[in-house]
Amino acid sequence: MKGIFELNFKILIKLFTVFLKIGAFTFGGGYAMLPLIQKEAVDRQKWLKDEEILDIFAISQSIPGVIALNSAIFIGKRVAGTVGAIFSALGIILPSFLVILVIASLLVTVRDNIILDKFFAGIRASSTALILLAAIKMVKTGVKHKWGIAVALISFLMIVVFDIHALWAVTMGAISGIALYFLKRRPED
Amino acid sequence: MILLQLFLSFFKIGLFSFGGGYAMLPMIYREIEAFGLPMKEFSDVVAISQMTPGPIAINAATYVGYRSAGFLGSVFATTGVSLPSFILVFIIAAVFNKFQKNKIVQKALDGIRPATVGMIASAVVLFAETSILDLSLINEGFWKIFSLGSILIFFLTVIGSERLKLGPIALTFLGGILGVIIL
Repeated sequence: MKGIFELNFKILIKLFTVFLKIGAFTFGGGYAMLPLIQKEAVDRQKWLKDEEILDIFAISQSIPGVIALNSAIFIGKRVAGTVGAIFSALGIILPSFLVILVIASLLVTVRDNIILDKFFAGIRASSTALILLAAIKMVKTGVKHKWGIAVALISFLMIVVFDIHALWAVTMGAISGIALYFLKRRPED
Repeated sequence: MILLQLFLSFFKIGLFSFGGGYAMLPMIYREIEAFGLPMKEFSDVVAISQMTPGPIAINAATYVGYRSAGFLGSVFATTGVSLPSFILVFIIAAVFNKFQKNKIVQKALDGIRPATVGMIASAVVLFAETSILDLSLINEGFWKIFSLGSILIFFLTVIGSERLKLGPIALTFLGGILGVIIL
């Protein structure tokens, strides 16, 4: 009995530390984590096979939520059940959580510093460019049909012009996808 | 009460965000507005997220939570944004194959993908309002709203990314340093 517990505990700690490392050393958002997760879960720890991790990534990207977190929970669950999922999730979340906590508490005290203010103003300008570039790259993979252009445009207008919560843009996209499928299918039946 | 609001707001963000961190930005923008934080903090959140490890949504939840209600606020917001992942992964894991092959699910996702593109595009506009434009100067004449120094940094970043192939962390730091020099 004791042996089983120890074995489980070792796997749980491993899951936690592996995801903690990935969470602490990947900058630039969740997408950057996927190759690292693949390397650890498949090549190093041999928890999963290559096809399995690709399936997990595909599903993690098609359901809502933080993609890296979805993947970590998926892998943790596969390897060590519900508790495994919790340990993996904590590993991914904790580094961002702690780093932001420190920065947020420091920023309050140094927010009026003129140099820091200019530093952040510069970062805002470069971030605008980075987000624009991300949007342009997304157009290539996300908009494949004429109606896709319409959906993207309506979603944009809903948020920017009409100030509607983005969840309605997601809902609109889903409904239009399903509606189009049924409209197209009818004449063939 | 504010803790519950933080939890619910970020739970909603977690539940409706497809396509990665940038697509969440319009929703995060809305929450920052709703919790009465200055709009500049929206761009600060994103900027800090780009320089620190971890997913943007987790970073933003922690930041907004902390600024609105201290440490407990950050715990509630981060839990809120993470919980949908748990619930959905556990549901999906049970019906893994059926989910992937279901026609209706696939068609819904086909529609969500372009909607996500629209969301990221709207994030660009929301972001530009606090970075390369200053709408508060609109009364002093149309051309006054453009910040030339910021627009220069904007284009230098585009060149740095597309021609020099620099990564987002390097570009973010360079943007900050250029800001100190020219703004």
